[in-house]
Amino acid sequence: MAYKYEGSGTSGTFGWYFQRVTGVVLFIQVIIHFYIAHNTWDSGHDWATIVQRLSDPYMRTFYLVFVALGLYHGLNGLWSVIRDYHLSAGMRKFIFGIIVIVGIFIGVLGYYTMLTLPPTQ
Amino acid sequence: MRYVKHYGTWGYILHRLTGLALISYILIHIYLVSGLHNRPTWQTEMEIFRHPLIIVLEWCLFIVVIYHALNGVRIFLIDYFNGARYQKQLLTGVIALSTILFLVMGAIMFL
Repeated sequence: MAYKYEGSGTSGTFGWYFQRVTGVVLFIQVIIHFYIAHNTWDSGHDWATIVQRLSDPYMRTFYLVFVALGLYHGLNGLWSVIRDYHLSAGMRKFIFGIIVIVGIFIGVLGYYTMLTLPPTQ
Repeated sequence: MRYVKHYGTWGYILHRLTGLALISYILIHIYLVSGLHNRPTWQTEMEIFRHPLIIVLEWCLFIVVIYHALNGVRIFLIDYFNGARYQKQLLTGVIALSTILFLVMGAIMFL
């Protein structure tokens, strides 16, 4: 058989569904983030203001969720764009591997930034 | 990929392009924010954001986010609330609202 079918009829259902769920949450979060970061010049650019904000447990939780969902939604979207092209199985695996590595690297970097902030004097 | 481009196809193409722009931005954004670890580094980094070109790019980022978010709502309505019946009108609404918000933001930023 020349016809090569990857996955069952329901594989990818979770990804499709979760893309919508994360999309709805991100819609609300991005509005809050935009307001917080651009309220004044200092709220988005002044070191002490930002570090103080990220030290607040509620704000920190908000951003830990935001980074995780944003990266997942974005990289899953990128992966679904790539899957639309006729690439060889090896190439797909290679690109998927790069996406996962970049996701983990940037995700860990983001979490590390928020969880090990220096104190504001 | 070549498809017949109906009106709704442009909504789909724009959603992809804005999505690709956003994931690129997010990766760079998280990387730059890690500069918070060093106060002097952060302050030099932030001087870039006073450059007029960067401010215009931030304005452009605004419409990219707004379009992707509003069209995301349209996709949600199509998938869960029978929005497929009105998808063309919804796309017109998304484009109109994005443009209005973009111009309003421009007025807030530059006037």
